[in-house]
Amino acid sequence: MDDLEIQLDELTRNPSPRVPVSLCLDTSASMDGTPILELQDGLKRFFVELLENKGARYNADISVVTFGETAQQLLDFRPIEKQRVPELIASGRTPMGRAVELALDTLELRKRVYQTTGVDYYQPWLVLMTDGQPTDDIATAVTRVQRLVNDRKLTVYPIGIGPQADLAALAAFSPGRAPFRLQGLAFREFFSWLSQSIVRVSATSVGDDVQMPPVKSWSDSWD
Amino acid sequence: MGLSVRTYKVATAAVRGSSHVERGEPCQDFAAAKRTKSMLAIALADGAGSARHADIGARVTVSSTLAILRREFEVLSDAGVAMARDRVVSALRQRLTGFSRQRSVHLRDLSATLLFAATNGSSFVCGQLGDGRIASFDRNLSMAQTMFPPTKGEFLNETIFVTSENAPEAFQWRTGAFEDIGGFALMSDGAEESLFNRHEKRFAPALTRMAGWLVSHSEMTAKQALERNLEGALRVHTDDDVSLAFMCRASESDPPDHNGSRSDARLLR
Repeated sequence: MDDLEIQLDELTRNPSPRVPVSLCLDTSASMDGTPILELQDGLKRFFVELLENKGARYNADISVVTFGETAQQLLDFRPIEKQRVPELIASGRTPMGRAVELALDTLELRKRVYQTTGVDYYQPWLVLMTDGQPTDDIATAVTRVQRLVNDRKLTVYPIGIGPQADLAALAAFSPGRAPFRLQGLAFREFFSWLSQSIVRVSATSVGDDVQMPPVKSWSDSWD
Repeated sequence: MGLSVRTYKVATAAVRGSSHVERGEPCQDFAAAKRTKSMLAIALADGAGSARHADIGARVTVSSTLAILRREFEVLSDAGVAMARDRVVSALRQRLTGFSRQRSVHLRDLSATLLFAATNGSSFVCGQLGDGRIASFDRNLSMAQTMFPPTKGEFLNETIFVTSENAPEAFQWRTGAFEDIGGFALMSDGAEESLFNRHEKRFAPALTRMAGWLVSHSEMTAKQALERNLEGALRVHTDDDVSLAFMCRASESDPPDHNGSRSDARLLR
């Protein structure tokens, strides 16, 4: 061995930094039919795109929480190559408050795992999608989200699906900017944008500014 | 009798990460050393990715720090953190502000983190602002330990820069006797990625081996070896710029070759 040459086994290997993303999805009865099928299809595309990107495949850390019959975490954070896209079934009401709290709780748990295992991570994202209005009390969830957003500890993407989406409720989860409205059922376009955004964030270094891709491919709202 | 600065050798190196190579952008890390008859210092800065002139900011930060250490070392060697904030951080920010006005650029576009260490042979001073890591070695250069916890936010792309409003409060500072210390290594976060295991909180074996190069080789040979290895193995696990600066105790009979140091006063002209 050359005295002045370092070998790879003399170095250490730290885990890839993570971008934790919690998808909090409305699977209430009103999503039955084409909307839930399109959402399912978009979700599949999302995982395929992440797996195809050599950076994002190791950086993206995805959880899926749904709210319909109940609020539940259908998919826990894990390396995405070990995850199976969950089957979405539309039924029940819209317990959005409980679902958002569950999403926040699981994000907090995930951050604790990162901290104890020496994994660096980016600011977590919460994607909240609904086609209706909450059927439970959202006050506590709103307070928690607003505090996190104002403290720059969380980025929220509230997205209304269709004309019945309660944009006022979504706006409460999004201090400082209006919620998005999905163009028709452009779930595929949205999830494609989301995977590109994760790629961009995961490619940034300390102090970098992140420019997200434009949202016009999937949103009627602002850009 | 106290040791002299002739007992110590230095080597510094910084190379572009693959992301900057691909985009044709300059290296935003910079490391350099300064030797006088009575003082030896190393400094390393990592320019902020969001800063338009991060490469220049890193160079000016390092050269200004070395100039301050050269001028103020004797005072600083006894200074507490309050005085060091004033003599180092405030002075550095004044220099950066002056440079930004002179060149008509925004101060924030010169943002960089800072690590440094200096000695007069018997005492040392060390300081850190932002991320990256300073290691101190034992007398035999066989063990390394972290000098300060890195100053960074909760999230990966958050840190403190010399130009940050809260830089004085975030500044970490230590002085002491060099008696039981064999030297220091400064590393940018890019180099730290391969040299410090965050889970086990220990340095990789490569760090002490590289420090040993300064004992067994000339400063120039060690510097060239550092550059080759930063270009090679140390860039495998990161696409960030990587930089290192070493100051290690050699021996009186093996004096430094005086070409590992450089003056960067020209940067301020």
